[in-house]
Amino acid sequence: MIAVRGNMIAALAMASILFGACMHGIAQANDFNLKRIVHREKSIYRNILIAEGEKYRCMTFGRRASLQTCIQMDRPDLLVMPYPQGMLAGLIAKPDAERVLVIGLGGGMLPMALRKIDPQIHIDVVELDPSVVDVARSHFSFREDAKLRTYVNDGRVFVRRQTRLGARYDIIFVDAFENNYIPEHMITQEYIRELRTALRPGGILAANTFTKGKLSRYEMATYQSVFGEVRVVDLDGSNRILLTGRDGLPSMATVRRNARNLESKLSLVGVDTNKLLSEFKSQPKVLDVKPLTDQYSPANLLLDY
Amino acid sequence: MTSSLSDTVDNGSQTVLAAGSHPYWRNPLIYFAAAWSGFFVMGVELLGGRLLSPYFGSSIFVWGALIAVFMTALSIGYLIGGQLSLRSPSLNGLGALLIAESILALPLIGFGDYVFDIISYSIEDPRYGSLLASALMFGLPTVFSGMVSPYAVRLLVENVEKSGRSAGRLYFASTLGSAGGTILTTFYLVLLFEINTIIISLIAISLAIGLGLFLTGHDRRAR
Repeated sequence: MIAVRGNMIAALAMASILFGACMHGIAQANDFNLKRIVHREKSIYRNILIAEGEKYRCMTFGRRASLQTCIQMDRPDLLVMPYPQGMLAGLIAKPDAERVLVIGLGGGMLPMALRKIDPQIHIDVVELDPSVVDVARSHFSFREDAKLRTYVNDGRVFVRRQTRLGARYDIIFVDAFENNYIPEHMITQEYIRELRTALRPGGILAANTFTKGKLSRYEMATYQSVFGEVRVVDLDGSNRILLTGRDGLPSMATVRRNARNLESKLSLVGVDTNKLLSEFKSQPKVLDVKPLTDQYSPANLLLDY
Repeated sequence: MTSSLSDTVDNGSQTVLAAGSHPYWRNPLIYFAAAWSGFFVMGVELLGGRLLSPYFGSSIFVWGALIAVFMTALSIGYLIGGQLSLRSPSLNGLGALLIAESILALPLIGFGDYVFDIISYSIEDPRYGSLLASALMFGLPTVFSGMVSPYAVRLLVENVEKSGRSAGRLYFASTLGSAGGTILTTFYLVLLFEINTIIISLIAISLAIGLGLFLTGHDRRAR
């Protein structure tokens, strides 16, 4: 499944789709300027809408929902939204990754960017909704290859199975939430532990998560309870990427060195490495709330609308 | 002619069912037990989805499996409960059904995780995994919950003419109870308590109502 977007973007996207208005509020001044809906797909979980303007095409889950993924139609290889760019912080923390897992496909921007940066990296993608996979292929230039495979399954079930089969990953990218619905079993301490188990020694977890409301503190407390140190990369104020590691995170000196080595490759997908680096922030430990567990995870009720 | 016919009917109902000789609280208590049983079933069902999700996900088919198991178990319960009501139905018997549903739900605490874990590893397809897991853990207590309604109808019916009304009122109580269990559990209880705490509370309340019925109800007049 997909990703967290800010309400601001949601509101702007809706205004744009409905009234053809411009969208100057988006970070990095991307003007998606969506004018018409070009495709609708009713999946078993939601309505998927594809909207287009002159330059951009976006996937959304309903007129009032936030944008999930956008591509620049003449350059589908560029990451035009901030959050998948932020996810690449995971790669900067672990540049020698050989095998990665992406939980939640969306339009497939992240796996395609990873493929472009590293033609050899082995990528497993798990997505719950088969219709999202279809739309990513038909409208977002998502292409599988011998080392990029998509599995239609529940993210948590898939991680458990892979772990049992002995598969371990250098980086796990979690992008399984949308703005208005969270699968509550995928935000608990038990699940985060399962993710940690699925990491190789030195492995890194990058998770696209919430910035607002009570839930963001619960979520931080939950990740910190499993991993200890968590850093945050926040590129646009509406999505934050949590970055953490099975055996801790590399020092900022190492991160900077890695970033310099990756700079030219990251620019291939439109990522400004210096900006990304400037947004790496360490996080104080959240003490005022308890971690969410399988026994207590009213995640959707903790969202503030 | 007319009056003698109605006399016959009245006499019949008096002799067969001995209506009106019960304490005033008896019928409300039966409706309450049925409403609680409805509450209990839906509370457990919705929390069941949460218990299953770590092992089978929360895909649409996991809910499908869970709901199918509850519906099947309830339907079997209706059949058995109806049959059981033929033999000396009583408040004791109704209480025993609630006691049984609560005790049979106890393994959900702790033991359920163990069962779900094994099944999720031994059955690859999470559809059939969640179906089997639901059947094993939720089937039996829900059969007993299903037995409550027809059994309670038998306790309430005073005569053939009023039987439809009694059944209607009972469905009203039990289904409204189900609605209550659904909304309270999903809107509020999961925000306030851990899953196991809620399930234990549901079990404790069922047990208390069941024991209450069992102890107060030595009425065997409604044959």
